[in-house]
Amino acid sequence: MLRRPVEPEGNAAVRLTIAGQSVTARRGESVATAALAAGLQATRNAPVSGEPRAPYCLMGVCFECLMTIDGQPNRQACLVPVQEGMTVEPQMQRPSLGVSGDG
Amino acid sequence: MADSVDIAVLGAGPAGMAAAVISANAGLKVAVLDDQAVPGGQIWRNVEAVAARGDLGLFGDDYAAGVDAVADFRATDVDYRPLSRVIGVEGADIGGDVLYVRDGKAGRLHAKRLIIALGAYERPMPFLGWTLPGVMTAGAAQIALKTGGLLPKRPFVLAGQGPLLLLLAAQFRAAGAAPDVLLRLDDPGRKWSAGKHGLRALAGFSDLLKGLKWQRALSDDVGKTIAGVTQLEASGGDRLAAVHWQTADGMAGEAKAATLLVHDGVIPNAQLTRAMRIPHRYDAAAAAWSPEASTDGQLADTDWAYVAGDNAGILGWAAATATGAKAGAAAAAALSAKAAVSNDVDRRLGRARAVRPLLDALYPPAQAFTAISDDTVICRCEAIKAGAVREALAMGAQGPNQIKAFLRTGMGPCQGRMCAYTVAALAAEAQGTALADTDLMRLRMPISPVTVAEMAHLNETDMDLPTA
Repeated sequence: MLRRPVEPEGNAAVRLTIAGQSVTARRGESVATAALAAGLQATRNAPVSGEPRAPYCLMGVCFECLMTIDGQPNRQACLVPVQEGMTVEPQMQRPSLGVSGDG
Repeated sequence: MADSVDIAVLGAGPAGMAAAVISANAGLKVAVLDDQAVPGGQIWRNVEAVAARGDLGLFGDDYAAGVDAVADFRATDVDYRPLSRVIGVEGADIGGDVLYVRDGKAGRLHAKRLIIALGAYERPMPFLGWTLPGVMTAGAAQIALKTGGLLPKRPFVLAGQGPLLLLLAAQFRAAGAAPDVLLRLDDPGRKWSAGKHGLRALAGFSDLLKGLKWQRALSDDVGKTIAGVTQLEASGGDRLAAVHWQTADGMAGEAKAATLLVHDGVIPNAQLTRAMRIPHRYDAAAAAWSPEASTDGQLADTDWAYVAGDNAGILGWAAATATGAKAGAAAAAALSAKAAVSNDVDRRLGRARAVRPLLDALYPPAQAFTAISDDTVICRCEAIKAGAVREALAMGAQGPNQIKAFLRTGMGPCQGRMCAYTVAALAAEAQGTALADTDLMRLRMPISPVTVAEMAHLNETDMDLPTA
């Protein structure tokens, strides 16, 4: 896991909501690193096994950082820069088609 | 009106920027597509902002070299398109089209010539527990440091092999976060055979000195270094709690850990060239597949596409600026424009090539001498274990494509980026063949997942569709 030794201030600070928690991130970093720094253990559950997963490569290769960003699911959080006012949710449920009887 | 340029460059790292600068300076219309928000690629990730905040000193001279390269790139009139994710290419009568997604919309860019410089990524290194939160690649933590200023939580274990591992350890140390435990998975048996490459490698003398400096820096601050590690395991419930290891001489050990960073060298990011069905060859010394291309980088079996930088085979950033310039000049020449290649280019390339055989011999991938246990997840997306792959092979699966059909290895969102090499290695192991005689699983476009809403914009003319 990663920690943020110095809180970003002034123009470098970007405020967003991750898993319901208001966090300050550094301008230019990705949603995935902001989530890790916010102390989120897992950013999603593996849809097949249900195991918790977290960002692994942070460069768009592994697809472990898929999160719901501003309502859109399955975005690669490591490729999305943080923006003021963003809402980010981990994907902890198994995917469902949302029809009755599913799952 | 169709979106059209003379040259499309994919990737804004050292190679892509060099290719773009030289061809734009030759008077051509050039567009650069890159999935990051700022230029620099992975080696020079976020270099402009790091320079502005006065942190260049943490990362060393190779990183600082990116400041000028990015400034040169910014000074051109190149049509730079950041946050653009390439999903495929299509050949056409003259040149072809790049298909990409930007800002929730798929787009089509026509180019007379294409230069592919999509870089490299860290060789996936599967071991028991590598899917636990708390385990990530060393390169990932470096990215988090360069962009967010983040550091690994302690206890911090760094494990793996290769020159980059030593650089990363030195960088974390400079940032005040030296590893508590360093596990070296260097193959102890290879050191002597590496000696024969030493004389030739003297041409890359300064690179060797750099390595020695990193080694020395390491011995100072690291809590504990264990050499000759051949087995690695991470354990914990919902997240990493401990790291366990075994050495070649049978010593076992373990340490509590909040962070485990792993690194096993880098491999070319050949997803696009493989999906384009360019022939790829396995380079046994580098233990990696790379696309077949001419010395200028022109891809085999195409008349419009080139490859440059680590995408073409791992040689590092200095060589990437050289192969990028060469490909840019060759593509420009093919369009009857005259590009000025500095005479320094071949010298840089020669130096990188001279030192490479020694590096390859000193740092074989850990996988060459670590066994993958049956319980190890090898396909992270589909949570498929090595044992299932071995079982499929025992039942007669003929190779990676049939294993994919049997088990779905490589059919999740990463499309085999994380498991293709491992599946090929397991197939070669079961069939008793050399990796060079084993194919990687076949790839198809789109090379990155795309939504229907994004695709709906692909052939958009003047009709506005709602954004996803």
